[in-house]
Amino acid sequence: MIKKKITLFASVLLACGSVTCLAGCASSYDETLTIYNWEDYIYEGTDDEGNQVEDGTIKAFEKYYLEKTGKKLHVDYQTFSTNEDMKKQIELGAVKADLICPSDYMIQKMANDGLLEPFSYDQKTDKYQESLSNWDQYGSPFIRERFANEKLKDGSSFLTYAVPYFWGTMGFTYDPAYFSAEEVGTWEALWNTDAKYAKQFSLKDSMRDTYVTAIFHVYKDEIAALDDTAADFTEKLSSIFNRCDDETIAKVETALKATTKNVYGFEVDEGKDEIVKGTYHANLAWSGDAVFAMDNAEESKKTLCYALPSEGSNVWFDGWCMPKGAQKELAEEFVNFICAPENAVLNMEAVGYTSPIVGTDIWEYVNDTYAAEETETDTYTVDLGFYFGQSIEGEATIDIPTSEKGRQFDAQYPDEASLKRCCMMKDFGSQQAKVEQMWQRIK
Amino acid sequence: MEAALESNDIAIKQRRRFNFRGSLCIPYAVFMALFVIFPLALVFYYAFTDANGAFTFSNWGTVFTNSKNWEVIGITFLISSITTVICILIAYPVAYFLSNKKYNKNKVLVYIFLLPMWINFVVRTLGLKSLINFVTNSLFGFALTSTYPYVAVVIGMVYDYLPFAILPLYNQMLKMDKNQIEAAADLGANPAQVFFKNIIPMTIPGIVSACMMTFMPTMSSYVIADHMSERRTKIIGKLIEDWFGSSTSDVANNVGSVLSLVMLFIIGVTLVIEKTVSRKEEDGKKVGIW
Repeated sequence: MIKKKITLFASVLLACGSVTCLAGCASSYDETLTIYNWEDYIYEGTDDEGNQVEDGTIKAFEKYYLEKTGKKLHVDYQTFSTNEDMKKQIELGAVKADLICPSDYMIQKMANDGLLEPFSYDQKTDKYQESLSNWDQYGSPFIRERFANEKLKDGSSFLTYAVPYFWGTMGFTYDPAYFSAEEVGTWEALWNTDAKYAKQFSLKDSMRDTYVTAIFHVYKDEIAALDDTAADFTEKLSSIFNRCDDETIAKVETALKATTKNVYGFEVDEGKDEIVKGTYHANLAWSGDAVFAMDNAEESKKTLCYALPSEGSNVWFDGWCMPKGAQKELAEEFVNFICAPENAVLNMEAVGYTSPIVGTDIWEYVNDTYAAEETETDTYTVDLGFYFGQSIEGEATIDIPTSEKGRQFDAQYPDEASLKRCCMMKDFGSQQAKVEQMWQRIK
Repeated sequence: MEAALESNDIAIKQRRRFNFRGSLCIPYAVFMALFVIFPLALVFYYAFTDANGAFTFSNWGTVFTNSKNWEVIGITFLISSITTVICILIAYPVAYFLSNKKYNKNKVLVYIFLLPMWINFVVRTLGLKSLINFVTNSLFGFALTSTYPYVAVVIGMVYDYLPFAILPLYNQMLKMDKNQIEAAADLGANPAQVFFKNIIPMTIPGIVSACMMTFMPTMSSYVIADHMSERRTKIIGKLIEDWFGSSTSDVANNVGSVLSLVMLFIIGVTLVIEKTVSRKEEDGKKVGIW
């Protein structure tokens, strides 16, 4: 009996000891910055095999901060897997983050709900001033325009509450040996009754993404009738794209139910592996996942391509935001750090999505990775002037081998005309519950 | 001598004052309070309140006026029932075979049947999925999980919960009185009569607990359903996950709680059925003896 008591006592002591150690360890830092980001969404300093070869972005920032201010900083890095989950954790106070990285519609919702802290952004001059000088200097003019034009409920622009981190489009990753670019270059492929299409597509088990595929089908005539040379074309398309009235919801439901014949199944992230394995031949994918799948396929001697449907698509952004009560200066310091082209290029390489940051470092990376060798003659030229703007010297044109058409480069940098047809998702607002109910009936 | 007795008395008294054995229950009681009673109370609280915490029945209305929810509950019930029946049909002969010492000398065979349980069920399910899709693809040219999702879900569930059906049956059959079986045969019962009038009644407690062990978890194991149907079959567990996990509705937790209670109710009903069956069985035995 005594022995038992002693063990009990010892374990209590041990427990107390570890708690004090934890408290003690934490206090050896001067400051703590809590970052709440998507999984696998930052450069971790590892090579292809997963070995640590150098400091990741987080470690590098801690060192940079120590050098700059002399203060020892600890970054508490946590991850989430869906926007909705993240919002819930923040609202519950389960994660007390200084920086979060939600997607466009969620930024809109959270900002409108008053959950976000504004950055020191001046809407008139479109500048953040010294706290975020890297964004002012290196933010892509295209992204800035798109973001600044999106207005929130209080009339302020998106940039007040969010600094873009990555962006991309949504389309089909497909196997060119099975489908031609024309066949999957349209959303109508999902409703094509030809036997070739049966059970060859996978959709996202994500309400927002799958909803918009049906929008382009339901309103195809109206979209085709739009004048795509008009200045307000994107605006008009966007209003169709974000429709969620009762009639639209009903139409989308009918349309999505009719895809059963062609849809193999729904997935969240297995799709980028299944398409390589050949389980199906077209996978509704975000551009970054498409790049990932194409890279992987190359390793198993297979070619995959990415098609951005001709009717238009979704262009999405994830941006750094500060929840209410965040340590503003520290958070801005980190965002500024990650917006530096030399850091942005590392993250872009690691994650596979496109960084909204431009500049010589990024331009060199793009050229090293994608540009055709001088000896190659069969090439096509892409003008990225609209995207890189004045950030690089000379013209932003790049020659790509024709054999690479519809591959990684096109997925990462769609041309201006295609991007004009890509719209940003908006919050469903009061229709949210109805769309959710519709979505529950689909599966 | 007297002093020793006295000190013994004191020790006994002290032991009474501080009941050490009783105190060993404290961690369990704390655990139960924190992780069973408190969460359950929260679920009840959420189920009867709205987004602002005011008392309401509207969440129940939301759940029961939506025909999709009824459909999901029905499908869940169907999948769980079919899975249970198939599990019992397979597990019964297997358990009978295993409990026979002639074939299963060192209990090695039992371990072989329980071996898959040592591997995480998600990994097992993914393996099964690849295997059956490969088979159906090469034989019939379609992937089972995509073309017949419900069939695939049942196969996945049966595969994952079969050991849970075998084990209680096997345990029960070990306890079976072999003499009674022999006696029945000696007294002229044909093999079918021996089986239905002798072996089955003796193993009913095993059958009941095998049913419980498969029926209850299949209702909520939506991960298996997700993988085996390419995310196209929804069971009540998934519905609850949807509300708690991905819904942005103001009353997401409240509606999710109602659904949790519905599931709890179904499980409760099956437990009650189990209890009544077992009790009848006990009574029945007495009748049989007298």
